[in-house]
Order: sequence, then C-alpha cells, then structure tokens
Amino acid sequence: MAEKKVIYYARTYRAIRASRTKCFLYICILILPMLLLLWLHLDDLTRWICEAAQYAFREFCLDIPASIQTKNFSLLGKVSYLSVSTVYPEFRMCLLNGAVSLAVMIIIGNLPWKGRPMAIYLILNAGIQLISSLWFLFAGELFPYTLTQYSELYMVQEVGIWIVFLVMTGAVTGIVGDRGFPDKLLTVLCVMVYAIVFGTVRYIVFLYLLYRCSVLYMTLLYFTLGPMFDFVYLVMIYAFFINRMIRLYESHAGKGAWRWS
Amino acid sequence: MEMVIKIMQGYIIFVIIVMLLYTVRHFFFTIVRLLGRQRLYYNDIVTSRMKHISVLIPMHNEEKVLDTVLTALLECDYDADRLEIIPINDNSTDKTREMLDEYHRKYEFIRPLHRNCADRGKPVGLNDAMRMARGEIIIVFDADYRPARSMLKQIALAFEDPQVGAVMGRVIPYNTNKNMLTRLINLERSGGYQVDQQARYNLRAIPQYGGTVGGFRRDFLLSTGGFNPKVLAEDTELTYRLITNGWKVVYANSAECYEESPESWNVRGRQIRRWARGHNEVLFRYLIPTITSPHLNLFQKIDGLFLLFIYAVPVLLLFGWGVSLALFFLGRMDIFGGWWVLLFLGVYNAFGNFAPFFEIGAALIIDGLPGEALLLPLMMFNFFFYMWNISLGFFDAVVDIVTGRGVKWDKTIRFAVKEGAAK
Repeated sequence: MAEKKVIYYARTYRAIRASRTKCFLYICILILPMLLLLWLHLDDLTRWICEAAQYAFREFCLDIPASIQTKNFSLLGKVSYLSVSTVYPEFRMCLLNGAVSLAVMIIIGNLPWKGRPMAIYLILNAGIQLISSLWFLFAGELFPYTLTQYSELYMVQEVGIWIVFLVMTGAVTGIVGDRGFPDKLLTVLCVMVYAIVFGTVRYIVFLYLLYRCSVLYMTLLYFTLGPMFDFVYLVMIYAFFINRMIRLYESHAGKGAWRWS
Repeated sequence: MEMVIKIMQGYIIFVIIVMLLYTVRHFFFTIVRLLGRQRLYYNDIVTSRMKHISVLIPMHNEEKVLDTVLTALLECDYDADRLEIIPINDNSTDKTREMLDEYHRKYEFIRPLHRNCADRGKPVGLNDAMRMARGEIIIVFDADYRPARSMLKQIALAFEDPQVGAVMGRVIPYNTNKNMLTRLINLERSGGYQVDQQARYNLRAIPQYGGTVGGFRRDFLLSTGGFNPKVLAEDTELTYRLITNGWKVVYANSAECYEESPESWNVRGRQIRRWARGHNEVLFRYLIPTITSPHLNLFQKIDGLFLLFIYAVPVLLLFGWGVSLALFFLGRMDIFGGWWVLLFLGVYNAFGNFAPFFEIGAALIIDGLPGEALLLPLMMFNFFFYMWNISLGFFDAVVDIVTGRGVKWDKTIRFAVKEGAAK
C-alpha cells in the first residue's frame, strides 16, 4: 500500500465558495415553475401515458381492452388512468406460486451466500409473493383491488414520484455551488424525462403482466418494483452529475471555486 | 378493526415524518459542509511540551496486522519521551504475544499488556490498560489501523483546551479497491466523516467519538468507573457520558487514519449487527440523561437525540414496510397516494451514520474523487442488508436490556496480508 505521508489540510477544510442566494434562487427559479407546470398539466400527462399504453396494447397485439377514466383528486386535480378488467388467479396457480416462493426462500436461506444483499432482497421478494399466494389461496375473494383500482393507485403514485423527484433533484443539485448550471439543468431534465418514460413503460408492462398472469403478482410488483426502483435512476443520474461536478471543480473551470478556510 | 387500521396508517405517517426529518437534517449538514465556513481544528496550536499520551491497541490474535500498526505508530512524529504504546494482548492464541514481546525488547516505550483471563473483550481490556497507563491522554487504535504520521500530534493538541473530553479523527479505508463491498464502505465513510462529522463540528453539535482513531482523558474515564463491559458500543457510550457531564467532543478532519474495511459480507453483517446492538443499548441508557442534561443546549439535545436513534431507524422502516404490506391487503394504501414514495427516502443512505446519497456526493466533491460516485446506485442493495442486520442488532439490544445478560465480544476478522512491515 502506498501510505500517505502528507496530510492535505487544505482539502480537509475546503468548501465551495458560492453565493447561497444564487443557489436558493436556482432552486426557486428553476424548480417552482417546473413544479407549477407539472401540476397544471398532470391531466394531460397522465392522459398521454394512458394513450401511450393503449397504443402499445393495440400495436403489439397485446389484446387488452382498456378505456381511459379520469378522477378528480383534491390536491392533484384531474388524473387519468386506464380501466382494465381484472383477472383473478386459479387455485392451482396460487398453490404453485406459493410452493415456488417457499422453495426459493428455503434454498437461498441455506446457501453459503445467504447473508449477502442480493440474497436478502430475493428472500424478501419471495416472502411477499408467498404472502400473496396464501392470501389468494385462503381469502382470494377479500382481495381489495381490481386491476382498475390498481391502475389508479399506480398513476397517483407516479404523480407523487414526479413531484418528489423534481423537488429532490432541484435541491440536491442546487447546493453544489453556483457553477455548472447546464449540468444541473440537464440533470433535472434527465431525471424528469426518465421518470415519465420509465413510469410509462412500467405501467404498460405491469398492466400487461397483471392482465395476462392475474393479480396474484400485484403485491410483488407494487412493493419491490415500485417507487424503490425509481430511486435507482434518480441516484444514477445524480451520480453522473456529481462525477461531472468533481471534474469541473478540479479543472481550470473550477478556478477560484474553493474557499480554503 | 377500523381503530387498528388508523393506528397502522398513523404509524406509516410517523415513519415518513421520521425519514423526512432525518433527510432534512442531513441536507442541512451537507449545505453547512459544502458551502459554509469551516470550523478549523486546533492545528495552529504550538506547544513545546506536548501532553504525555498512551496509545492503547486492543488485540486478539492480530499476528497478521500488528506489525503494520506498530510500524505506523513508530513513524509518527511524536516525542518518544512523551509517548507510550500499550498493545493489549487479549487472550491471543497465535503469535501475537511473542511478536509484542519482541517489540518491547526493541522499544522500551512499547509496553504490552498480556491478558489471560475469562473476561475478555475490548472494554475490560481498555480498563486494565488505562490503569497501567502513564499518559494523561488515552488514544485508541484498532489493530488493523494505520495512523498517518501527524495523527498522534493532532489528536493530542485538542486536549490543550481544558473543555475537550474526547477527540475523533477521520477514518479512511485503505483496501477500497478490493471488491464491491469495500468500495461501498468507502463511500459511506466519506459521507460519514468528510460531511457528517465535520458539519456537526462546524455547528457545535455532537460529533461522535468512534472508539478508535481518537482520544480521551484518562482521569475522566477512570473517575466515572471506566468502560462499561456490558455495553458493546463503548465509544458511543463514552460520547454521551462526556457530553452529559459537560465535556466537549471534537472532530479532527485532518487527523486521518487508514483502516481495513471488512472484505466479506458475512463479516460486515456481524460488524453492523454488533454496532446496532451496542448503539441501541446506549440509546436505552442515555435517552433520558440526554434530554435532561443541563450541559446541553436545545440544538445539541436535538442533535444528540437524532444521533441516538440512528440505529433504530432501520427497525422503524422494517416495521413500516410490514405495516404498508398489511395496509395494502386491507385495501387502505390509497390514502397515501403518491406520498408513499417518501417511505423510500431511506433506501439510498449509509445506515449507521445515515449519510444519504447527496451527503456522500458532497463528500466526493470535497475529496475530489471522480469515478467513485458512479457506484452510488448500488447502495440500494445495501439497504436491505443493513435493514436486516441492524434490526437483528436492535432486538439483541432489547433482549440485553430486558434480561440483563452480558455481552460477548466478537472480533472483526482481519483480511490483511503483511506489506513492508517492520522486522
């Protein structure tokens, strides 16, 4: 190991020399209008996603009868979602799913790498699917959601993701000094475009899977491939942004950017 | 039934609020560290007579690494006549004893303490060593650590301030490139020290003494009964013992020390579980004293409470996850609509210090480390790993408190291969 013999005091106490007002203004001027724009066009946006899903079902011969419904929410205003008929699982399918989930839990739980993050993640997923299977085996008629209700829940959740992500991305890019505005803008736009595109594709895939394979998989999709996965691309795009900002601050363009306390 | 549902919904809202509060706290820390004026450490102090220090190094079967830590300490620029090194050989069965005796023959100020008794463990070993120590300041290192040359001097300097009870230095992993786990730990460490600890130091909040790479006053500890052998997180316990008694804990960001990160998930899991167990024991013991201490102002009390609860948050999240699953099957998730996403704010942070992804990003900017940031998305998988292991540690702590059982010390496995060690 090349041990460090010199301690760089300056680096340990350096901070970015930036106008906090500018940082605050960036957040306000960029994010607030975008938030307002998003809020004013939620109806159009969700309707567009529904139409895209309908188009996909039609073009790719997925043969799913789906009509657009609109509901008024107190804070969000009008939100559109697809109405799709519900397909419930057969007893044999529930039994098979339950058995497979249990087997996955037992097998992974006995593997040498059972303590690893991926193993814990898979066991958690299998556990959720096992609960879902048992629910449909013993109390299927009490399952509280139709596919249409799920579709509504999904769309409202998407709206929540867009709003939270817009605010969060604005905030976390806004505090990284007052330089690199194009990078910041690009990051916010990438996160929002990705959120909308990813949300649309996932909506189509989820509805297709739940229509074809029944609502037995609804819980799993909702919990493990839901909002948690949205954070993946948020952090991924943020990571690229940080990488660019590091290079910027370490380059000639970052000259004078540091306050060497 | 309706009442139960209301309680469950209330719980989810409570967890979301907790997550938001922690996120806001760390967002504030990030701003303070990234854009604020930094509070310097005591680097400018010049004294012709440094304090007499005793460096304690707990060891149990450390033949793989002890050469490295002792060599690094011998290279430190601290007056040899003001320094003693006490390696605590705690029931080792390998060559640790012979190697330490060999060092003692070469260097008089290396005075090993050989312990061969049933009550092994870091706290009791430190207590025994403190009784034989001559220095007024005790500096502790784990055996796998490699202090930088100026480390001892920097740590000792802060004790010229009579209000300082303990000092914590910055820990940096040296085996970062070993595998994915060590790379991710490096990110956590960056966020935790470069931003989190320094921000708390800037704000005169509660920087945490971490049990190693730091020092404290020997007299204070001995006068308050030494380390409690029933507490696994003796470092956190010392932090709270000091602050509730009116002492200051300070953070030295420039006092860098290199550690060996665990290279296997099993070892990391056990380590995290042990930390969670110890930290939560401290939570149960110091919750009331922190709230009622006359030595802390309101801001310090709030920060102290946030810090105390850090290893309880993953447990709250785990229950939150379970409750939201129950609400889903009861058809009552709709009330949260899109705001449910806020429950996942905890996914991208390093548990233990609760360093969210943006805090780590800020640390990487300050450290000027391109490339490492691209690993940030992988932290999601750590989330489940930490949530599980910390929850186990929390329940261990609950059982400890309820049953009054003793704790068994579990040493972290070393991976090091000797490189250029002293012969």
